[in-house]
Amino acid sequence: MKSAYSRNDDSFDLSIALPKGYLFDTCINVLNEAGYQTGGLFEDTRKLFTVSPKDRLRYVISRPMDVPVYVENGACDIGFSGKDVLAELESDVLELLDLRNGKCRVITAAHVSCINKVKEKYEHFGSIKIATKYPNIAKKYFDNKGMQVEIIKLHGSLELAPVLGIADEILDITATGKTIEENNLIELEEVLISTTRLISNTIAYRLKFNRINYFVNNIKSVVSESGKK
Amino acid sequence: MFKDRNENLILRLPFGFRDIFPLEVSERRCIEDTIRREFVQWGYGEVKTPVFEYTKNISAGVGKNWKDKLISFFDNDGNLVSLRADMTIPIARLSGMRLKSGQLPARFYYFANSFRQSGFQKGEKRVLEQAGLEFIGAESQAADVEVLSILIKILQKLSVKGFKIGIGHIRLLEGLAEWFELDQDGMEFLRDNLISSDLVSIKDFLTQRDKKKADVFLKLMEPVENIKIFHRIISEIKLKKVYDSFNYLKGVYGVLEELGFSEYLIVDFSIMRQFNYYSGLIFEAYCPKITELIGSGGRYDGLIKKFGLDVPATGFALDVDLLHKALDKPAVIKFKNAERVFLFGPSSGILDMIKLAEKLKGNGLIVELFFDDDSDLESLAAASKAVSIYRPDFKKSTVEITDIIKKIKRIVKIEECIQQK
Repeated sequence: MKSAYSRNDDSFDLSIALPKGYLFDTCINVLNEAGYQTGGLFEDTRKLFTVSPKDRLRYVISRPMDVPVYVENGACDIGFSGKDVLAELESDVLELLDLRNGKCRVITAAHVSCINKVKEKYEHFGSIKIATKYPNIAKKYFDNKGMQVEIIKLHGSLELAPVLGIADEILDITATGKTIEENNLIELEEVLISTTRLISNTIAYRLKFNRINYFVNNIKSVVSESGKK
Repeated sequence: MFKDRNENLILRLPFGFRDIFPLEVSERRCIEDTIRREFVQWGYGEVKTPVFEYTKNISAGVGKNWKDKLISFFDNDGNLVSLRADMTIPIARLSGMRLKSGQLPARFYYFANSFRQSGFQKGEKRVLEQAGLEFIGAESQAADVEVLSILIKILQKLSVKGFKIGIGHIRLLEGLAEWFELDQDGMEFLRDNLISSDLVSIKDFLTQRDKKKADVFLKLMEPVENIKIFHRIISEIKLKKVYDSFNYLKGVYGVLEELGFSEYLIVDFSIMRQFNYYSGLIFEAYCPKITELIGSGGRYDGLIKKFGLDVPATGFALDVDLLHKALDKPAVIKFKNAERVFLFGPSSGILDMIKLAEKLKGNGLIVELFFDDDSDLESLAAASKAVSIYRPDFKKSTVEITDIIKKIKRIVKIEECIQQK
């Protein structure tokens, strides 16, 4: 049920969802560059949210996959989320800004020793197994290629799946390609390129446009600068 | 009373559906009454249409992928049928089938459940309880003003706190696509990305073509409270389609402003809906407490033509379930609550009991009958907000009245208790 929006708390103007993990530090840096107070707010890593009285902002720290969910359901007005997560969840949120950082690629890969075998298998059995953290992206991608696949959802260590024989190929994100290489996997195709996006709740965007737009413009000003660097 | 019923059976419902109990239904009924009064007083007449129809008809004029959202199945004769996913299309079908041009304009309203598939993990409902109206043969701008002011009046009368109406115009986007000299695919790209609210992709796409124009485009997609902010930008674009659609919206905005509604209005050209049938003015209703649209509507001039009658039309639908959640109850829901009493006696005395109940009801009371076993009756009465328990003794023609709130008992003659009020 979507009615969590706007709890009666006037100690802040906007509520912002931040993803834990590899995007967290980049988000904090962007906020800092844009002139928002970050020092002292995020030291206690177990805290799930924190309010900046100076900027009148509340930060909610959540798992990356939950950021669009928080925003879609109005628990947060805005959030920082990777495009990969947005593509997977297909959340009903507004994508306002590309921060052009946190870049990674969603790719398909197979074990170096199996590439030809996979092809043979597909010709023989007409279906291959794909292990992925992104079943939705995988389904769309292979549907569009007209390939018949069985999708197996895993929550981590995707590189192991071909080695253990769980799947023939994997569909996963990679930033540097290092993990892929180290596990003797070879990249086959690029599915999409992901960067960090600033997203907003669609109703909040209309009802609190001035506040949200002010925040977006502040972030935008540092994004285009770092683009020049 | 139901002590033996400690455990309920565990039964499942298909996801996205639920049961609604008397308290909630009665509150919704009050909301519906307010809405109905407004509809009726503006001369709208209630219609009902079948819950399911041929898929071919029910998917006329909707967007691509919409068929995935329909709940469909095969009829006995092998034809594909679907549950209605909104009421606009069935009413367009009804108008095309049954109305003659001499009967126009026709004003219809409805209270109906519509059904849509939704993501199981997103916790979405598969049933929408909608209240709405359709103005068939709505030639002029005045019709748009009429339906918008009805919508605003309803939200005012229901005391929905902080509600806003976002209004836009679908042709403006087409005009802007011309301005960028986009082909059909480009136009589709814009539309699809506005529906999925992906401004980043739109920015990248348009910036490649013309950076300056892209900035103007994105400026126009921002929601503003006063339409005047866009005047200069629009006049600089110098394109008839853009100018005309803007002017149309300005006209509607102007009248609503004169009516004193400007505090509720947001002008927003990024409003785009999955339904392809919208053809002009388009609008949405928001409320700060609810993160979904509490209502939406607009003009759909080409839709009824698909059913054989070429007439313009406009209308809107409100989501009664969301409206209910948007209200600060109980302040808003004034339920004229008649006093409830329990009437207890032996089942052998049913004839006298029914006669007495009829007389008490005549006094405006709500009477619930109980027979034989009166253990726990007091606590049950308190739980169901009954004010007193009547225990008549028909031989003596007296009745013992237990006041649940004050916890006192008194015995009066039956005639006295009937005449009491």
